[in-house]
Amino acid sequence: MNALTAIVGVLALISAIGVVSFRSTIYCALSLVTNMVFLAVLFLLLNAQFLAAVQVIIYAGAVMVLFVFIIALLSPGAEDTPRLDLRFLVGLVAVFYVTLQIFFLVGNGSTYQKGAVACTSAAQQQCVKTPLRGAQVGQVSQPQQLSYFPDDVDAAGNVQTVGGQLFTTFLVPFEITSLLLFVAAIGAVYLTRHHLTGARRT
Amino acid sequence: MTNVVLMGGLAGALLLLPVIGCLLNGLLGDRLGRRFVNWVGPGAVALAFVVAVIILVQVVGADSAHKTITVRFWDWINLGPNGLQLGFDVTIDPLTVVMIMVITGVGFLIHVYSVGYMEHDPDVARFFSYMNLFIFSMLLLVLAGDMLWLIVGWALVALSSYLLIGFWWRRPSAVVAARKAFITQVIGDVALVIAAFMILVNLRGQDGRGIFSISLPTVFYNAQFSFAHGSVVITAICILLAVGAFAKSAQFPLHTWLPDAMEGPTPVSALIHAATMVTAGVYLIARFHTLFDLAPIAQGMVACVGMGTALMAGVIALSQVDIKRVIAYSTMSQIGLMIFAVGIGAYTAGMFHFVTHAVFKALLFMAAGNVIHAMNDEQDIRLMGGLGDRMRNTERAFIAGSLALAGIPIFAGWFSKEDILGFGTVAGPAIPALFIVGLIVNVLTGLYAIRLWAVVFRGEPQTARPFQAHEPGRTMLWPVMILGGLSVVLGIVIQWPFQILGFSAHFLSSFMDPVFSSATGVVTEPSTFRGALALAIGTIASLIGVGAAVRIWYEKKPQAQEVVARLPRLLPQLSWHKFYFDELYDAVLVRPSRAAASTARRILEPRVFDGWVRGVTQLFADISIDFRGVETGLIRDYATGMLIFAGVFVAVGYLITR
Amino acid sequence: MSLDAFPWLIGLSTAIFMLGALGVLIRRNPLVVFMSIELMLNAVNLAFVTFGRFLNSEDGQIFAFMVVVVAASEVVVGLALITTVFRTGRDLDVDDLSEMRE
Repeated sequence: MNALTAIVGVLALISAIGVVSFRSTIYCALSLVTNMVFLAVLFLLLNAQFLAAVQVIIYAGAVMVLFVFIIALLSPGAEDTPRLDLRFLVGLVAVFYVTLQIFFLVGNGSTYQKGAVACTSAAQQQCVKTPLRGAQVGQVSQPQQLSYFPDDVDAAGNVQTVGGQLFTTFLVPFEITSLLLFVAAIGAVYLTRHHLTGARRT
Repeated sequence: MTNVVLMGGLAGALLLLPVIGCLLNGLLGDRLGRRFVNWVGPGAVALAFVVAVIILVQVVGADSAHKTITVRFWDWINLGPNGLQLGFDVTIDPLTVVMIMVITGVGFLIHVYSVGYMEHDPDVARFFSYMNLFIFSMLLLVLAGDMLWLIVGWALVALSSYLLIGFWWRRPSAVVAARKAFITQVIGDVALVIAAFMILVNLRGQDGRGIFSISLPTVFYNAQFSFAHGSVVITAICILLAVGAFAKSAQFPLHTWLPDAMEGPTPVSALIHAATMVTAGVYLIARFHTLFDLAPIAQGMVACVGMGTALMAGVIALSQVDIKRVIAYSTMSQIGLMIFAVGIGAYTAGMFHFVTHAVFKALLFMAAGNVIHAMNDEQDIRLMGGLGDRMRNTERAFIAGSLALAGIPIFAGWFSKEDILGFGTVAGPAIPALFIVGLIVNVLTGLYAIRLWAVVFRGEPQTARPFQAHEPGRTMLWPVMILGGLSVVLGIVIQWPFQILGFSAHFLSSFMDPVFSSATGVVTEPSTFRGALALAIGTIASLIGVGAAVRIWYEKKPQAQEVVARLPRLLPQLSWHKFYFDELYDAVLVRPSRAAASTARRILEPRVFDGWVRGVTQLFADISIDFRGVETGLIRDYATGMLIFAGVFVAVGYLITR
Repeated sequence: MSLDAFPWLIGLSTAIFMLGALGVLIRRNPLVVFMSIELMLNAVNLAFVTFGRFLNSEDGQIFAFMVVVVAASEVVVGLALITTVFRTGRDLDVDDLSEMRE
């Protein structure tokens, strides 16, 4: 755990708190953007370069822009002070409890084999190499069998490996998601269209 | 073997004829009209009488070994010689023959009488249907060879009596009376069923193994091996049988239904409450004599109850003013004598009195019916008087019947009553006391019988109605006359061929000898001297009663009437109020039941039962309302729920993977 | 990075997720609710990638990619809905949109 991870993690947390806390809607949106950026950095640190780029371009760059536009157009204004009612208490308790619980679970190794050692490369003694399919298809420059190990992925390039998987093993889901986007777009257009008779409700 | 087939066929015909009559009358009677019913109703019984005569001839002609025939019509349950055995058996022996002759013979005459009596009644089809049903039930009862069917017949008889007493159901008093009769008899039914179960459980064969059968021949044959003389078990069984008999025969303490049963039409009273149903108790004890002989305590109880009831009923009859009620209490009294007879073991004497009593009591009831008819349905004797001049033939028959009832020499009742009293002198140590009671009963019988005659038929008419009285038509008169003649000669016919003074020897006794000869408890005949003495004393007692009645009510001698007026207040009070039995039962049985029922209805039902049921539904309704509160419609609340459960899953996951 | 960062990253993911849930619970402006949902999806993405990294599987990133696509389309439709609701002139308050109440 190096210092960079820690700092970025803390900053992501702070911005997340900000999303739910600010009175003004636009501040919330901006907090969310910063949160997404920090998460993108974390993705980079986790060796998911492609995903980091996707996060910034699509999520922060398109989705949040949509949000900001709607906020600007609709001008919803500020909320009143929220009531600290039962829901709030329940939520607060849940936040703390679940976070700590999961942390302990993971810390004790409940979610993975306890004795496992993180393998960074196939060259390590106990790490088994399985071929990296995408690397083969993508005409990778390295002819030898590559693995999923981070060091090997680093060598081959993250984009290639992810792309390779996406277009071979996960081809069907990929096509379905494109269909999903299409449907969403149609839906949005349909929902917000003006009636031709014109009478605009106030 | 052909004998068995023949007898079986005859018995079957005997049972079927009234059933067919009942069904025809019930189903087609309304449509086919009065004439149809008037022929089918009595006709069915007439044919049954013919069959009964044929059976009589067969039994008389059979040799002594074959006097008793049991025909098994079908096996219902047969689980082997030591398993349960139940079947539809019919037993025909001299006792049965006597019963069926009386039932169908007297029954036929009463049916003919009913044709005239019910002339103006629109429900005549239903009436004859019920009457035929009754005849069938009674025949089933006496023909039954298996105790199961005896009980079935017993219960059917109770049902028929309920239907017939409550025939005019639009009258509330009739409905109440019918209910009272039925409920009282159900008590007897229960006792009978328990007795049957006890017999079933305790019956053992010669080898000591259990026999699970209540077929009467089997029971009687094996009784000697199953029950020790005087043991608790057999005494209990016999007491239960006796209770059943008391309920049916209106003996103390189950007697309160009989006077109220006079609410039914007079032919019903004649048939059911004089000739047949009330004698079923006598028949039961006579039939089960084998068992009773093993339980002297039960026998003693029966004798005491019989004589006690006879006395009590005699006292009550003296003060009653409803013509039918007087005759009803007279019936109760005479049956008390019969029960006494079978209680002391004088079975043939009891049956003899049964035969003669059936004749003259039915006669008296039918004559009373004539009187009521003539008086336009008035039954109070205080409003009658002087009817004798206007209804000569009825009066003559009534006199014949009354003298027979009172036990005047050469009339039928004399022979049978003195028979009983003769036996009463010899049986057991306590019996002479009962003999003296019997003498008192004789006096009372004479008193009330002649009182009735004198008040109704003699003297001056007390109101205007007797003036327009007249004799009824043929159908109502002829049966009365026939029975009148019979009540004069029947005794002579039965007894004369033997010896006038041979008390226990008469046609009936020799006829029924095979039935009772094996009985160990049959009382021995009194010696000739003792018997003659008893006869004389008994006759004198009856004559005293008759004479006193004549002086008081016929000649209206003032000294005699003074004596009557000087009687201590208590006796007439008790007599008039029927010894307060109705009030007693009302207070002890009816009121608490009503109170309990009312409490149940007011408190138990709404608060406890209903409350619980409704409480359960209310509980569920409340729970569901509480659950519905979850659906507030607010998305945020639903999200809260989801969050809570997510937390729960996490916790569970932790617990599982620990 | 080494294995001991793993629980911390998962813990962070969980924390952000629960904060998003809290936001859904207590905020009344539907837009902010929506943003909280986006926050939750982001947290899930982080979890996916972390697991993928430490369990040596490429599937984590793939799935995170799918999540991004789905989130995008969901945002499109959801914002269209909010716009429609706004056009009818009603207040933008989640509590008022409680037609689902019994």
